[in-house]
Amino acid sequence: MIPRATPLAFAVATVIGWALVLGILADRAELFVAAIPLAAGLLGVGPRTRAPRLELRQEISADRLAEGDRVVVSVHVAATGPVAMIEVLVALPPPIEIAAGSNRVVLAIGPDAEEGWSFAARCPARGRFDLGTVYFRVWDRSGMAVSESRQASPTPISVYPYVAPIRHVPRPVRTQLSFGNYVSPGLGEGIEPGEIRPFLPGDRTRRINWRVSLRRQQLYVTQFHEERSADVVLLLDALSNTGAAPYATLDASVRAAAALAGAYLARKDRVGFVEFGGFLRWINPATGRRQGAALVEALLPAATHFSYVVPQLDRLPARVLPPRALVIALSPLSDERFVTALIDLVARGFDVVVLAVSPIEATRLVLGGSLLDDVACRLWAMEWQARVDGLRRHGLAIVEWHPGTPLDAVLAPIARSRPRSAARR
Amino acid sequence: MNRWWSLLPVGVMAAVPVWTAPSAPVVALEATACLFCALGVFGRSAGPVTAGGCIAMIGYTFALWSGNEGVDLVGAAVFGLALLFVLQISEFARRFHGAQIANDVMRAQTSYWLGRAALIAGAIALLTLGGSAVAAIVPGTGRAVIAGLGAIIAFAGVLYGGITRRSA
Repeated sequence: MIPRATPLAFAVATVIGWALVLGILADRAELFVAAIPLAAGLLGVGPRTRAPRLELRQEISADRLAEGDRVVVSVHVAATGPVAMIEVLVALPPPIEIAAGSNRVVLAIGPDAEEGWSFAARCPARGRFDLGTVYFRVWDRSGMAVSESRQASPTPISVYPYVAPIRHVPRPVRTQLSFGNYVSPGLGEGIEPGEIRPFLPGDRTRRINWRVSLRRQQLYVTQFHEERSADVVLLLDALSNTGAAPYATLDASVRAAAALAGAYLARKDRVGFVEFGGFLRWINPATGRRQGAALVEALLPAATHFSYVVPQLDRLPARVLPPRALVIALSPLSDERFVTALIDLVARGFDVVVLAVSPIEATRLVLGGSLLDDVACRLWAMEWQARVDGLRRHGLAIVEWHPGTPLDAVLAPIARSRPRSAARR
Repeated sequence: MNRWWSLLPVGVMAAVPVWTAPSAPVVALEATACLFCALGVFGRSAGPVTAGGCIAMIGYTFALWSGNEGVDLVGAAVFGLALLFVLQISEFARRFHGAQIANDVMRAQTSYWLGRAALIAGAIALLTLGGSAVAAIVPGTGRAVIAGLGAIIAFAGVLYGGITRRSA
């Protein structure tokens, strides 16, 4: 740390010079005397001894948080020698904000002593952040000299999206071979009773429907529907983002994707993820708790990246986008490239459900509440509605979601309207 | 630190010239200086405070020039100290605005400022007394030699201080 003169030293030097010039011009000794205290103050520039070695240590209460959670940051400063005044600033990356206390303090440290303080920070939006950068300035008592430095020791925290519990999810039209929770029209092993037919050689006796057999005086058996699982692919539109974190459309989409992933995984479905943005990023469909954790980790860094390359879904491997999968697209429908990709998916025979996240509310939060803004937002809302209706005419199943409305309430109508029994595999 | 504390030395700084020669131009100049200082203190900017200090110095010069009285060393020392504290306290408040300052830091800083003020006042008193004694003892031609020696010693002191700090 090399000490340097502060603006105060230059200000004092200016006033001293001015006093000397005026003293010579006016030929008055008082002006020279008035300059003496200033000159004495200026003598404090530069510490007489080498600055002591400092050691900064930082501790955080948790490194895995949910949106809106608080983290307590404790900072300890130790010095090999006495420090009259040290200003310490813990850099907080946006959008992390102070909840209690201060991230900038001025401390005095005794010889071989340790000082510290704590503050609470709130993490309103998802993402991965580093709280490890600490800036510090060692001030001279006179304020005429300062030496500054920074210390960066990685202190990562992960803020996960808030996962809202949802009960109603769109039922997949087609199922896969593996066992699951959806009643298939196909007959086989299951617990859901289906048709009744006459007994054939080879039928299991436990399947005989005795009541019908006695009435008809002939053996009848009850057939059962198979229960199958489905493949669900969450397609996240990262080409456009409207509003500011944590209320931006991409943040709302990520929260919805996390909630949907949790709900489908609870039904033993295989869930995959594709981020359709400046570049394509994906996770193969799988099931289980490990897949749930992998999906949430993959959702964390979702962001818009500029690229001249238009991503194309047909370049994805077949295992990422299985032919019979239910594709749930999460998008504000603001980018034409994403809309084109959706229409292409429908044309390829995929079962596509679009969760259209309205960008109007996110924009209203950023704008002021002026009349002009209000009129512009209302016009935009009409245009957006017309766009959604136009896409419905292309055969897309679209659910409109205005963030603020519970996701479960939005998904309930489409969950009811889709067929209860999935199509035969 | 409360910014209102900065206004205390501003008042002293403006009062000394007005007390020396209470004329309309001096009052106007000191009022302008106060305005600049207040702008700097409340706008958290060092520039206007420095400009205010320079204007106050002009006002003091004008007051000394128009007053045409004997040498007032006490007034000059008080003016210089007030000017130093205007700059230091306003800069302290500006620098640490929004920061949480530990109580022991504030106590130590206040002690430092008061101690420094006492030290400077004592040094000025000692210099004044020494100067008066030398003036009474040494004849007219010898005073110039002693003044020159004093200047050389001061220059050497500053040079020594600069060299030792650089090597530290």
